[in-house]
Amino acid sequence: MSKIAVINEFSVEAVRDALQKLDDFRKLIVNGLTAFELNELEKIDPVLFEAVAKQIERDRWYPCVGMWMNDENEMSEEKLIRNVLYSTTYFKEKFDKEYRVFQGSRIYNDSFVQIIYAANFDACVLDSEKENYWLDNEAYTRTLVYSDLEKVDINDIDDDFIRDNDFESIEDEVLAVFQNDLDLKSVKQPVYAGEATDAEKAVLKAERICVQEGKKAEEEIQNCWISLFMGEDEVAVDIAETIIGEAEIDEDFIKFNSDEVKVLAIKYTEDLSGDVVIRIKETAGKEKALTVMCDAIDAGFRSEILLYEIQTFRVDKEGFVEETPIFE
Amino acid sequence: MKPYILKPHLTRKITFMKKDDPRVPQALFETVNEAPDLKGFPYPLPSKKSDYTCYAEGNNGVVWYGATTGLTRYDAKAERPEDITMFFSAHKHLDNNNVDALLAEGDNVWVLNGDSVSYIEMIMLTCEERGDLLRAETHNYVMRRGMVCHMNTAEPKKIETALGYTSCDNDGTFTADHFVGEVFRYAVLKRELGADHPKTIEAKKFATLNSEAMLLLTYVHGREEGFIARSYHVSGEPLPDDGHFYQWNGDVATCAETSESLHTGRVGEQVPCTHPIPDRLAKLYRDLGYTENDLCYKADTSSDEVTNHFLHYRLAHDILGEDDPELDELIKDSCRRTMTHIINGKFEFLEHSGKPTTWAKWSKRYFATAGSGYVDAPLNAAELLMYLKVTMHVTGEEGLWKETYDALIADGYAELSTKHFDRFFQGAMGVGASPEEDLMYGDNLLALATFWMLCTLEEDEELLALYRRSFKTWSSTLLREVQPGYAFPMLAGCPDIELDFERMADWFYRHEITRHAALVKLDRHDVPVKRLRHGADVDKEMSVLLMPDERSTEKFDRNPFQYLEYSDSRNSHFEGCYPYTFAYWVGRYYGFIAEEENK
Repeated sequence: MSKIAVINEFSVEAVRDALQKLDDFRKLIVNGLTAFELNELEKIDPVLFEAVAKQIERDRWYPCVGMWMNDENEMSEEKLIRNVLYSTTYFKEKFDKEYRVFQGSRIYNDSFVQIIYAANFDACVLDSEKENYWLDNEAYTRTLVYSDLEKVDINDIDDDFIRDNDFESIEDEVLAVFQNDLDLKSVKQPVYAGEATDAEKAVLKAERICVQEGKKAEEEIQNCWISLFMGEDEVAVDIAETIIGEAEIDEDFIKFNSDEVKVLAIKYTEDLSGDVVIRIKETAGKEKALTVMCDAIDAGFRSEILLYEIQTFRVDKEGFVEETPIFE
Repeated sequence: MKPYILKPHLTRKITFMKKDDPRVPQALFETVNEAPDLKGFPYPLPSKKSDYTCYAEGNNGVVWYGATTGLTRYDAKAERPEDITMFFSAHKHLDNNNVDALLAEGDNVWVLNGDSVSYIEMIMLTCEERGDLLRAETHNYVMRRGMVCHMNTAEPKKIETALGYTSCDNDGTFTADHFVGEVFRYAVLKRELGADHPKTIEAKKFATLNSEAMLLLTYVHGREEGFIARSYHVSGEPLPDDGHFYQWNGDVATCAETSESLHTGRVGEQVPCTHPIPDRLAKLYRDLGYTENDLCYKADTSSDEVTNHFLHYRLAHDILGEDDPELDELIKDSCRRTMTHIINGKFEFLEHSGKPTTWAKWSKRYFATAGSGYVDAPLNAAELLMYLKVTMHVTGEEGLWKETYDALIADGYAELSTKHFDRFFQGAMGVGASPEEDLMYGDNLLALATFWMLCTLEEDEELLALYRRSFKTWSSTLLREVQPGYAFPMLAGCPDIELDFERMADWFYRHEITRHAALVKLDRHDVPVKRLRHGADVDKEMSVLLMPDERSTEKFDRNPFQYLEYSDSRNSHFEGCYPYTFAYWVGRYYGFIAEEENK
């Protein structure tokens, strides 16, 4: 079985050591570093970052993809979505890379399966899980939870060990499992309505106010979310309140033909196109035919939503709507 | 359970004409257009509000809104939510999507589109009446020698210019599906009106004709072994450049030249055709003046064909066999020959050369192949069990059939059939595709036929429970289509599943009375387009299942969510009516639905 060489410690020295070993041994592959850590590395040591970037481009360094930064706590749907969105967007924009194996600490909430499924992940590797199984949800989505990996710390292994072993990326090792005769148990994820924290609610309100008022504040909003990821809730709230000012949520901005749907987010898309994202979740555990009216942006559309399903819609300036699995 | 009562419902009837046609009222050209005020309109509209340029008020408060992007009918008082706004577009309902003028006339409307006019009538029909109109179109123009698939026309939109021949890769499959509707119609009418009622006699005639056409496909090759042809052509019909065709000449049939037969090196291959074609079946072509030497049959048969032939054997035996012993003997003989061929081929369907066909394999050898074999195994394992179960039922024999069935159960075939959902997902993920994108829609129908038959034939409680469990592993793909033709056989096999009969009713009510397969406008303002996981921009679906009269007319085995780019490519194409009649008559037969009279 191939070994999975992982960089566990985020430090300049640890990264230098890993890069040196990659230079010395062609067969070695390194796994690790989140989008947040790479972002920090670029600020601390741009030359070292460039060296890592080259190895990522060559598929000899596989970053830790899925969460913007490691987090061991439960979190709301929208916070997980933003973590995933910021992580995947970072690797797409910075390295033109899309990965299919989510790496994280745990099942963060009970919408976990559909969130990572919608973000194009087919499998996940979670620190908390010790066996292999299918994790299913009510909306016919599933992910493979995979744990059979022989991880070693890249900074702890010596040259002899590297010579004596084969190495693989987490990404390739897990995806290869789909070619095997799998006979795994299925575990149905329980349902739950995740509540955003007060700080998250403030940021979500700021995003919605931006759409209502036609305000542009993408950078500030992004800073809000990164502050939330880092646990700096007060910073996020301060920025959000500055954006909100005296404005209030217009409850008539969006209307549904059902009370059993909640809005997770109304915001501008991340690509600065001016298109609007409407993200909703079914809350009663009932499949339904939905109508969504949003006159302010000239949109009125129909949807079929499954039980506890999260749907994301992108509305263009003409009011035409696309349902998108990739979080915008 | 009590049947769901279907009521008479408004149905679209479209008449296309040129604007100088004398039937067009002069008043249509004298209307003064005024753009409607749609501010605060309470429902999603198919066109952008600013695209609407005219409107006309009809009976009972119905308003027709004309746009540069199609026509909308608004009925604020409609009983069913799906009927509140209806959309009409080119080329199914309009010649083009730019509406120049409207003239309401009672429930109907005249629509001016440049040089063309559409007269849209909203006529009240029962679901059975709708089915009868669809059957008439199919019987008059689409069916050929008892086979039903699709038909092209010489002129766009004009079914009366049907070419009379067609190219179909799965004549056996689609004719079997059509046969299901016809034979259940016969069974219901016989039960309700009596065997001597003219409608019952007519129903029996057509069901028998389809059954004979199905059986002919199992003899038309003249091979001694129990092979089944995909289709056959007669002299004068152009052969499509697709697949392997064998032209009869005396005692041998020779492989004709096509791109595929050139590729596989089978051009000129000679196969004996010495097994006699029963006279009763040969009359299907002899009565038209053809002889055996006019036959050219298509080989490389897939499991689609085989599975649907076994579905036919069972239903034809049960419903037609008792009153038609000659037909019943042919059913039994064909069934035995096919089953023997599969067993002799070690559970693979063999060409005369001894090589297996591309897609008819039920052997463990095939299941062990990576990719398709691994993913197909749960369905194919169940198919083979179904074939054996049907053979025992139809022939009344056990012997080799039972020995083989028991051996396969002991070898894990029944258990394997439960693994569809896992392997389907795994297979899609293995190739980096979304399951929706990776789904082979034809498999839906095969799973349906297979488990429907198994669940209604198996008497062993343990096996029955297992087959029901397997059937339900197809729920996510079968039931997402809200297609009664899938839902009703599933309910017959698994009585504990829950169906939304209101949505089933919508499907019947909103079916048109023609199977004109023109494309429709799908870039609508009221329905999001859905980008599929892993997909590029081309991999798109409609996020809402449109009513049948607002989506393109398709075969049973196509994706009803499919986003098709608007074009005029299918204006000359008509499909057979079987998706509707299959669903309707299976529902009536099992007592899931009944009809309220049309007053």
